[in-house]
Amino acid sequence: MTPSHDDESSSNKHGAADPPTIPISLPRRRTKRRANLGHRRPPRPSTVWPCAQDDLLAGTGLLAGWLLTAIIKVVTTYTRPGQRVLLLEPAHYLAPSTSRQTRGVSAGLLPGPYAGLHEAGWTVVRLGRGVQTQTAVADPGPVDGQFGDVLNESEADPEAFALSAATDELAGLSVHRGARPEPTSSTPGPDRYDLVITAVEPRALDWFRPADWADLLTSTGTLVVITHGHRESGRLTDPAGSLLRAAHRAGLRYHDRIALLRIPVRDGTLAVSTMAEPASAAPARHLAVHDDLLVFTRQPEPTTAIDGGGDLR
Amino acid sequence: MMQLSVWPTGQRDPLAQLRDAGCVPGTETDAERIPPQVAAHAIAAYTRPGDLVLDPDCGAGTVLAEALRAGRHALGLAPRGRWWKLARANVTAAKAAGAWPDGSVLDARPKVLTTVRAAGLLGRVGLVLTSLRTMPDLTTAEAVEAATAELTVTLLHCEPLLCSGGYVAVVARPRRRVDGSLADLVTPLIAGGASVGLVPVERCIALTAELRGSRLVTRASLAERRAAARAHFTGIPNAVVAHLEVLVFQLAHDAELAAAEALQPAAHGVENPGWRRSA
Repeated sequence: MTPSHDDESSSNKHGAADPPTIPISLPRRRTKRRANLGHRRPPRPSTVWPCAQDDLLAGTGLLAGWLLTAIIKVVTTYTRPGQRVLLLEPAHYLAPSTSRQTRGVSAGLLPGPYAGLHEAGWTVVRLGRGVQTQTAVADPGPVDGQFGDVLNESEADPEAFALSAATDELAGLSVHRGARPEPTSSTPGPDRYDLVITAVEPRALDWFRPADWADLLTSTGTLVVITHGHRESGRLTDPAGSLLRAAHRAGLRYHDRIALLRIPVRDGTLAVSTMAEPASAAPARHLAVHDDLLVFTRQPEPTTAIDGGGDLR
Repeated sequence: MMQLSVWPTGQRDPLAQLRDAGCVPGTETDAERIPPQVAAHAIAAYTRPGDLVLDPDCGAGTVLAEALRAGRHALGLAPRGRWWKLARANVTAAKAAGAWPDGSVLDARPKVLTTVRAAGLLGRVGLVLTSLRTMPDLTTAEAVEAATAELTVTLLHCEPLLCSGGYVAVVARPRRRVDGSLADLVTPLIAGGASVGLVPVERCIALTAELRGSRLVTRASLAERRAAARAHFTGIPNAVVAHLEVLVFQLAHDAELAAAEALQPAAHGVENPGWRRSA
């Protein structure tokens, strides 16, 4: 039975001398989050990175959307604002497809999946890092040699890049031609990088010269190589073995191997378009939807295994 | 449904996977077991009902249990005696749950596969599914070499047992050395397979992390999280392991035949049965 406030018997229990009722302060829910003591949760990258989450509109550039996302993740994971990044792209990715018939060049000159790496330069600058783009070339080899000994590089720091962006003068930044990249240990400090990003097609490893790039890295610098397995005549070729040997000879340490997903993750599943590749009657073969990111760092102590220059040739 | 090179096999946490698979208590003590979802995916992708699945170093027997549950015959070897009882118990549990195929666990080393005791298995195994076991730990280059050499010998004993179109799948967990560098397991495994007449046909990523919404949620242990934090403050962050490497091999002529079949379009919508096994 609910007591009534007009109940006479209950009102008589309290005398006039009783102290007034004071509400008891009950523990209230904490409304403020724990004070931030200045500690940021350190980034904890995993060995699998979803890189195709954003539906980027296809533009006129060559750079694939997933690759741009991967570069952003690489830059934000392995560098801090203000540090310097080098984007290194092989020259033959830039070759026009029409040159194939006129020069009898192999199909390897077609723009590959990693074409347009330089286009990520603007994005890297917006992340607050200094960036330099460089086009590396291989010895002519099976190619007719027209790209031999050509280096095209452009550099910008965030401030300069911001200025140039306003005037759209990216192409006017320092351009050098006719020189092979010849980084040496005597290169002054400003020409060293905290991160070197490159991409390697498994069928074109001849230009991969980590011995040259190792000297471009700072003492805590990182070399990142994007590549993928290649299947030919039913046989899988994993370029990682060759790349690791070359990097080891160059005094670099194998730090991580990360899978880059080229398809988005949606609603807890891997969303793949059914039109991505026609179903074949082949035996169990999985559709390759990932690339590999190989991470190398400078050896903490001097190594004695530097012989052969680290070239794959 | 299209099969992808990235397997969504981490949707359940490891212990929940063991419960779902009906594994007996104690199976979780086998730290280098193949997770049941990974085993189930590989078995579904590379075998058909009625095929024989062999795990020459079966540990606690998760591969055998999944094979039986999927309607495949299963044979396991337990060269490390401590696992034989658990593997046998898991086989018994799977059969008690209604699995009809045959399941056996031998307390023997893979060398027994080359003896007359295994004569009846020649050319009958549809899938060899095993993991790279690194006892006691994989922290030095010598340990990597020893583990891959042992697995190579095991594959050498298994190779004659493969049926036409059969597969060999090796599951390896990425490991770090004591100096923080990553141990390269893929290259020596490929070399080891090639040395016994197998050619690599696929390298897949079996997720141990969960796909949740549009994110990937890792299941890093406390030790891994601490190691990642230490690496971050000392320099370059370490990537927390979110996958298992799966290397798939075939006999050379099978791989070439499969490549040729892939180039031929199915006539009149009829799937070319040339690659199907009769096992």
